[in-house]
Amino acid sequence: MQKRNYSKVPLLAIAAVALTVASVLAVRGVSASDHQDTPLVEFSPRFDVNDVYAFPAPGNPSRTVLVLGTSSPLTPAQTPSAAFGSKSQELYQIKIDNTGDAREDLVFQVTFTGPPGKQKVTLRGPVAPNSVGTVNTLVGGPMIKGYTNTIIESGSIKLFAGPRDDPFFIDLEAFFRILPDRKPESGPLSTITQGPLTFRAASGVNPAVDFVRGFNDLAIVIELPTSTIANPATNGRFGVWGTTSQARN
Amino acid sequence: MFTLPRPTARQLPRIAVTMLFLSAAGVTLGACTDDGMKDIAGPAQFVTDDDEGDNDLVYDQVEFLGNPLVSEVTIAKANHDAYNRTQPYNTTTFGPQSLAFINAFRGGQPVVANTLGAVLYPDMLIVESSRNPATAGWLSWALAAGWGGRNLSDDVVDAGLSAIFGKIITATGAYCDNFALPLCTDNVGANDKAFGSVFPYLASPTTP
Repeated sequence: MQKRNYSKVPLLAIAAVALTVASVLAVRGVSASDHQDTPLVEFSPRFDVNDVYAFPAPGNPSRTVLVLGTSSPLTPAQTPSAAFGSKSQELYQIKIDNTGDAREDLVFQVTFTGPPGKQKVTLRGPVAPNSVGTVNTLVGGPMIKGYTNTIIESGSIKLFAGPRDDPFFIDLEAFFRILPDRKPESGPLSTITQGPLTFRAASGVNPAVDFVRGFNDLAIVIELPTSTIANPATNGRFGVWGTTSQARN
Repeated sequence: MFTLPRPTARQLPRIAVTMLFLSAAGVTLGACTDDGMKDIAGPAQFVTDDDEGDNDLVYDQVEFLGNPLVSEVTIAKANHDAYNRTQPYNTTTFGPQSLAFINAFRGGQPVVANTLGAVLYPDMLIVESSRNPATAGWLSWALAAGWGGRNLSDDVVDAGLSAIFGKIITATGAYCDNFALPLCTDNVGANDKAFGSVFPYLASPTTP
């Protein structure tokens, strides 16, 4: 599997670069739980699904919160003009399997229109998809609409879509030193070579650094009654995943 | 015993799926127009042709993510693009690659790769919503009979590292104690900004 070279890697001032607002190149090198994991999404970050979360709503555990994080990393300077992909180009989905066959039974479909900074967001679902799989069309049924960067409530559903602090945290430089195969195509981390098989200490000469610190992402957050997506037939067990899809011309 | 952070509490009733949503859809906040636009913040809404052509739109999946780190860590980068075109029911074709990656380190204890393979494939965030929500946390459904899912504050890096290299599944052959160097922690244990207790929970963005 991994060749082990043990060649020493010179110290890089990654932390300083990561917090620099100016350089776009510095931005393109960041990753996380699934940030920028292929060249396609690295250079088209709107299609990058960085993270997916599912957790009971704090203070209201009969409700579930679903999060789809995209477009990381955004520097603070880039954030005000950052935009979700428009509906004519991109579809964001959270999919739910609640019958135990790993195929989606329900989909949340989120689309956007309008200019950066003042986009409109539409949520369709959760309803059964028109088609199961990687080719999807927009479902019918009720839609919830509003502006990005606002809390939208309709019935028992809450929706938010907009810039947030990227919730992920990792010493990414150390990770790529251990697994240089996974490094990005561009940016300061793209030149990392194999280092010793160890992460860094919490403090000291060369401490661990949260590489995602200070970056933002574009997040879609949906909260709704758990009973809306849980199925008695599986004793309430369901699976969640997130996808981005590109419109055909 | 493997535990993941974060509480809350209680049990959940369960109902037929779409009926609740359809009945709730008529209630709105803010201004309404004939086309059902629901505006919360901003000027009074205008009639648009926003929805025209919706039926003609066909989308092809570009990226897919279920569990954190599965593709990023255990699948060679050259195969990430193919992985992104899969879905949980056919991500199992990548299972052998993940097993091979784990076995490269823990080949002497196949229970590690086999357990993780069974937990991480099909690749979905599993939620056991009939269980106590206070036990929510990544992989808690499998490793601690918990609610599962994934909390914002879960240190999935340490959890994944400790599962592969550490003693969570078996101590034999472990490279490190759980959540310790050299390979069972990255020593970045929390987000730089605190998460909120109210919707939307993610911290506000860092501004210029």
